[in-house]
Amino acid sequence: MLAKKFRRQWPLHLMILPGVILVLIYSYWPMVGIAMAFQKFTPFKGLFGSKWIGLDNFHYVFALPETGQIIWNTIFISIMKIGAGLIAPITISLLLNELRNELIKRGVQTLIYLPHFLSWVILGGILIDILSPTNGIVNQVLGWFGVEPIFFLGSNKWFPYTLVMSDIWKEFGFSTIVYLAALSSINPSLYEAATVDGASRWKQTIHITLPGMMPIVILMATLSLGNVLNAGFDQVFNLYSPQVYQSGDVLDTFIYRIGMQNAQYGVGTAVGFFKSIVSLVFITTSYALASKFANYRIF
Amino acid sequence: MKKSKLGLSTLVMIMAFSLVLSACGTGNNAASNQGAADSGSNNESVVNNENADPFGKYDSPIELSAIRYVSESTKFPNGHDINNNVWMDFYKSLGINVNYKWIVTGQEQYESKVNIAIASNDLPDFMEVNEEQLRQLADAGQLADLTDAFEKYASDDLKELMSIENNALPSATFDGKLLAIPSTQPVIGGSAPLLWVREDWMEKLNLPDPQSFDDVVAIAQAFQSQDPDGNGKSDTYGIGLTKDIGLATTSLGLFNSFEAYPGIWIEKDGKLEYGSIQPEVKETLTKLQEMYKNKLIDPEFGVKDTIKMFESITSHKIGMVVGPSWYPAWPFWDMVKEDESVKWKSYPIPSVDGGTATVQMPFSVSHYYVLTKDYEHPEVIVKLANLYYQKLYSDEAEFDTYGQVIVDEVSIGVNKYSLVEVVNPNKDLIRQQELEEALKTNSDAAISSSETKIMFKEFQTFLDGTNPAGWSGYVANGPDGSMRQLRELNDQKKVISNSFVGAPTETMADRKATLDKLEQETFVRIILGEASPDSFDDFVSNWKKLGGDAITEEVNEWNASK
Amino acid sequence: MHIKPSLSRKIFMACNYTFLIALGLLCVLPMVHILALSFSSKGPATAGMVGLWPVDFTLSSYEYVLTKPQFLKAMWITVQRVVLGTSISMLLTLLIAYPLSKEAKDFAFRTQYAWFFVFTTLFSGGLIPRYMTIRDTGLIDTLWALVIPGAVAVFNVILLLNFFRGLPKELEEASFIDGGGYMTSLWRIYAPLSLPAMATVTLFTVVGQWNEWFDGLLLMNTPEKYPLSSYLQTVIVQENLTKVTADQAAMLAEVSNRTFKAAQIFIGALPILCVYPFLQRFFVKGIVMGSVKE
Repeated sequence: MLAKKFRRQWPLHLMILPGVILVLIYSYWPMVGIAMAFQKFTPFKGLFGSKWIGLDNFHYVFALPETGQIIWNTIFISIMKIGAGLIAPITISLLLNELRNELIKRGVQTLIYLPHFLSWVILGGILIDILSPTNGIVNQVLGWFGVEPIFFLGSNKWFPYTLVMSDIWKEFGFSTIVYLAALSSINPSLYEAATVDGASRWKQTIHITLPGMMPIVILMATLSLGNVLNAGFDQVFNLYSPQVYQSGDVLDTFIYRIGMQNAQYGVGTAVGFFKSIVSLVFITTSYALASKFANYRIF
Repeated sequence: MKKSKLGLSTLVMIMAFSLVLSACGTGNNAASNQGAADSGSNNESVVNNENADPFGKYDSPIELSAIRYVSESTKFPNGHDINNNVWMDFYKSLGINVNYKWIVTGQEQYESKVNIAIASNDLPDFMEVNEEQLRQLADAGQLADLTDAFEKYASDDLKELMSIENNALPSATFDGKLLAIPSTQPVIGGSAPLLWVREDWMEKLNLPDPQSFDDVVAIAQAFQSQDPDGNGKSDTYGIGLTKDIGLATTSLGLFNSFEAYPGIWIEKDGKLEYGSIQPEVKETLTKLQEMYKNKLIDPEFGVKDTIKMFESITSHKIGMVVGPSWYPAWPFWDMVKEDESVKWKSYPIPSVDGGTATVQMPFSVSHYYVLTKDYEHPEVIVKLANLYYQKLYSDEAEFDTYGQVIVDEVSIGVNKYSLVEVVNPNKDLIRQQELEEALKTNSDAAISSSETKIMFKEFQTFLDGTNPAGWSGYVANGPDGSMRQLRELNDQKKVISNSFVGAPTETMADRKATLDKLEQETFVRIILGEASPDSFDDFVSNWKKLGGDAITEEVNEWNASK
Repeated sequence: MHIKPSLSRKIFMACNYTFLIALGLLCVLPMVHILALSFSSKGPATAGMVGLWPVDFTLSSYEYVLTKPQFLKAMWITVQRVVLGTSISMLLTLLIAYPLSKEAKDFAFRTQYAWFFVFTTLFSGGLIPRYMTIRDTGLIDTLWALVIPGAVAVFNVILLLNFFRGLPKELEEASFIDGGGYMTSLWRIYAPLSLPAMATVTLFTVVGQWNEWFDGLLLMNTPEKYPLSSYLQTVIVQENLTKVTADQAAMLAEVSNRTFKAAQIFIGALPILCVYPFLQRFFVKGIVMGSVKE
């Protein structure tokens, strides 16, 4: 029985083998490095010559006075990014799906995809200008509506939202692509049947489009939950300043600063490991939830 | 249930890998436990047996593997590159074959790659390192002992050069052994603060020269309120600042005016104390808060870096800024080129009590050249330093071959191809003095270096009107130039530098990132008025509690043992 | 479609068009700003006077960039890396996604395999062990270093396997009856029938290969071998101005030309911007339908 099964299945195992080997070499093998999280890593003594210090690296990080605030900032920013990062592209892809003029549809798709290709170094400089409270275009527009100038990048009240908004603005177009692909995979005969039955566009969206997208939506939601401690290093690093440390300092920038002062690989790895564990918990939980309630196995 | 089994099996698999790896890992590192104590001992014989000629040629060529960075601004004459240029040819003619293991663009990228090279034990014979990397390598006993090699091979010029900054060699010495050649740099011209003022605005508003800090405030007030650019809009600010309060020259000069010296260690009653926690800092912050409230400071300084501030300067929004001597080259020249009526003039930082203030600059060494421990010719690094100085600055200098060449009217700094760079910390000051003398006599006979002679020619062409681009050099180094003002300050011993130098102490390594963040956040919040000046006192007690006291103790121990 | 649209529908469509076009314009503005900078003279550019239209129009930035050997060399390396990297990565992605799209009863250990791959997205050994592995496998300083270590893109695998699952099973079963194997099924049925998904994953791979800059700096031994993104990174990132000497500052001033930077950023992004409009033709509906009818 087993032999027979294997005989039938071996081409599948063979197909997956090259990928397995590559991942073993380039992903699993380097994971030995995680050991550094439990060491006072000293170069030249190597991974197994360095002193083992148990959880001291973790104690060190969690004993620093700023850590609580930093973790809170990280979670606050990343949760908002995850939520908005799902809602915005899904909405836009549904709206794009309604467009009948192919030229405009493709044109808009291409335009909203552009900001993804500008790095935060570049955008940082541009954002300081357009968000300036004295002569930035955004505040001028808000001024027409009687809004007092807002210091988006310099006020602790606004900074996290500025991060979220600018991140969504940069990435939503690119994220839309996945949902557009999902939309074009929906069987058109379903729509035809619904039209014959006299269902309105709105009804069609609710009963055909959304369920058709659902697997991809669940998938993207689950995967993005793994980012619950990733507030986006490049973005924060290029936009923050001492003025908004209080609301904008996140785990990754914190690690960067510690790394700058001293090559504290142990501490850096420990925080990385902590982030991985948290991600693992979130991904596993949402995987289980999706499989239980939506009866959908993501992978 | 199924899921937990899966998790377990994955975990077991990973553990198995780790075990395999750990077996491999231990073998590689057995040799690394040798301490710094015996590094270099096997090299001494080599040094002793040779005739100590500081510039001597190797009869049988030696190989030297090295790593380096090339700055984005480095240029090459046609057909030349980093592996093929005058310096490489010169090294080869002396029997030194340099092979680059890797080359990277940009200093920041270089430092990260060196960190990785250190952590992965992948070192060349020769490299440039920063203080922290030097400490790591020294602690691990990976460096060649250069004590004897320096003693025997250093040219008289090099020895003299190294003694100008008396902390240079000590900062590279660990347990009595010299483990690196410090790269001394003229930081006074690069970092010491001066007050730059829009002279054309001053003239327009009929303002007197700034003699004290109160004058600075008055000028800022006038620039802010009296529409100096005459566009009918209140869109100008008195003084520019950047977000790096207490780090960048832009703010340091203002602190210095109040005799506050943030970020460096200063001597007080025979002990070293941290500048940022002194009462004078509070005084400065209180004043800056008041100025910010009165809109004398760029209201958006808190999010601006230097480049962004340059933009405000170039767009005629800021009439006064504290900056180093080179601001005429950048960003001022960009303005003057467009509009000749723009005038920038420098003043020594006025003190709060009137007169000129004592200003601060960083330690003149931030990089070091090292050889790894088993390299057979430790003297080669000393020779490289000898040669650099000889070819560029000594009596036998060939500056127009090894320093700067002109190809198609573009001047190319070929000195950048050299492996080492050791420069007289006072180079900029000497140059200014010689230029001033030469202008008086109208002859370059007394000028000691070809580099300065080239600059003198530029002065002459600028003054006769054929070379407008010579403006920035003249404003910095001319008879009324910024460098002249620094030279005077230096002669009056009014330029101080960090009293603690070299590798960070243990607690610094642990806590400095946290403390620096606390400091910057506090300073900015006080200036913005988000925190009262009295919160400075909380900062001081927090600073002490969070490791500052321990650091102060360590720094003073270091000072006593020096 | 054949029914006459209602008034509310018309209003909705009008708003929808307006909103999406406005959104599109909002997204294109920074790129327009960079383009305007690249056509402006240095003076207005440094003074921050350039908005969305060039000031003192000049082509000098483009002359500078297009005669700069390193820029062109880096562009060529990027093209090579994208072609090679995308081919390898897409091949691997297909070969992994197809078996994983099977039910556990048809492919033993599929769930374990899946977690085996997903786990690598959560845990990593960090930079240094990764560097050492790439070094020890002899890839440093070769084009392969940019292509092989990251060839298995787990996110793309998961995406593709989810699309594969959505295809009707009957097609494959028919192919098996005709004597076709798994390979035939993958190449003849799954790949061609999931064109939108394939286009998406290809796009992600191409964009990923194009944008990745850190590995070039880390794994190449000379700047001549940098791909374009690594090269641009060294151009864009400003050197620290607090530590420079007076002479260095004068040299930095020369390379601090924002118009040159803008031109390089723009030309550097142009090819990749054209990839998407090209791939959009594959986002078509109804392929599955058509083939089932056959």
